[in-house]
Amino acid sequence: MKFGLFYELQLPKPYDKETWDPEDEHRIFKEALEQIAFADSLGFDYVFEVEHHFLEEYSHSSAPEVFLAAASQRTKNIRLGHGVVLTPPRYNHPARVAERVASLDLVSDGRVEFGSGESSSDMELGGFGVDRTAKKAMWEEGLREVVKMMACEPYPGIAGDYVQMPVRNVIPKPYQKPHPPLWVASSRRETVMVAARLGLGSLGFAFETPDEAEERVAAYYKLVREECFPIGQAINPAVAIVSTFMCAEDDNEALMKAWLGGPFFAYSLNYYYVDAAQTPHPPAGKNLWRDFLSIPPEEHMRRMELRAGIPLGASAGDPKQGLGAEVEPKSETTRALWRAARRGATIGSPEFLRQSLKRYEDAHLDLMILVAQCGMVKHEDIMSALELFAKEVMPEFKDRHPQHQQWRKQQLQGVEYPINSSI
Amino acid sequence: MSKPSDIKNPQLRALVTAAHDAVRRGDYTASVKHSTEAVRQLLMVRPDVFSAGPRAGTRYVFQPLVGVRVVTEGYAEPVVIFDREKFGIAEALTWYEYALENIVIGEPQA
Repeated sequence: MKFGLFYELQLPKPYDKETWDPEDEHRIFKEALEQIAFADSLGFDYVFEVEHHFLEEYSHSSAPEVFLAAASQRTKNIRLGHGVVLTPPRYNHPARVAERVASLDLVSDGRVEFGSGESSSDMELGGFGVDRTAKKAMWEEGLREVVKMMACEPYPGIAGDYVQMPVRNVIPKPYQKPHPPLWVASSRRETVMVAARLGLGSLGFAFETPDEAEERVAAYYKLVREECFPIGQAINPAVAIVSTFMCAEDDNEALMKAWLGGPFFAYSLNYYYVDAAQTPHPPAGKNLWRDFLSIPPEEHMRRMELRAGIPLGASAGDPKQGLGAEVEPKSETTRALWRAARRGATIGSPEFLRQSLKRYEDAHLDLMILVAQCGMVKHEDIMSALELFAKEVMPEFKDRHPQHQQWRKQQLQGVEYPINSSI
Repeated sequence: MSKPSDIKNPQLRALVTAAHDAVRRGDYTASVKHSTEAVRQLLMVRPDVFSAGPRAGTRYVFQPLVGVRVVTEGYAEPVVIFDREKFGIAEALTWYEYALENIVIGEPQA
């Protein structure tokens, strides 16, 4: 199993102000770049950067290609992942995506991972005039054309439902041939299976338990073998999941350091994807961080229980409780929020993380992506957590990775499509 | 991993199998129609399988949002409403997986 980092570039507003301090955005970008450079030197394998628009405090990462380009010049080995680029053409014209991804691949000496997605918040869809009912079709057509543009010389053009373009030679071409490894955002089980059928790596955003991961990994690889209709010129068989992260000398210290991270991550995610769908977000008119702090932790969990339709008090209001609790929301989306607010698999001492991650390794997960930068978690705590994790936890997983690669090779026996994958 | 042959009800199994076959021959719109009809028929025999309401924490709330919906509220029996006429492979596969998984889970009590 390999390890990556995941960046939303979260930036809560100061508690007592209606907007950020002038240096705040600059600081968060510089800190994140410093963390990534450090992670690269420590041997982390991947960094994934989101593309979101207008989601104040939740994500200030609207131009990931710029951020990743900066990261590419500060690092040597770490893979630079779009997690993800929005490919409905109203967000990004396919030619512009192809040009940017190829350019990033060139300046990074072929280290790009190209994840794509469709987005689902009203703030983003409405901001760019993307029709919610057609966004998956737009994502598919946009991605299909981006891949052709990167691989075909010249690109033959298209008169599609959402993209119209004459024949052109889209340049530059990516360093990796025929194109960088392809991924798709998968927040539901269905999407993981769709990823397999389209030959895409699955970037799972559902905070899956090891048991769920095991079932999904097995089903995913079976579908890659038996029912793959590749959308690209090469497939990227891979299953990744994200998990909120903090590593410290003991469990209590890790929990304390992470406390203002994961729960805010879940709170702000829920705000933009659930609450704001009913009462639209007032642009520049809300302080989510203050709202978050005004609600006691037990009340956060109680509200989530209420929303999830599970018996109140079932979780004993204890967000420190781990995953796989007896009573959890049935809906995958609500369950993901629920889990993001809890301790999860990767917040704790090195020993806790070792045991927890071993279960994912046993499930044959390809990649665990750690969410360290979230909420008000301190930069220095993230840096020390990365160092401790790299020193105490990561080495044994790296040592065992060749066994995983062997397992994966067996899973892919008989697959006839070209494979471009960095796992 | 579920497969169409896991479905016991012959009508539902035939619909999901047809959805699968349609994907394989590249008729994605037909596949979506078969999958949504299968879910509609499941709701006929198991109206409780997806309880309505965005706060109920049920699968029904989170149907794939791809331009077609299986609706129960306001109708005497479940209906399929199409917002578009043409569907792509990703949409067809999404609805196929959704139908298959939910029927296998919901059917035993049907």
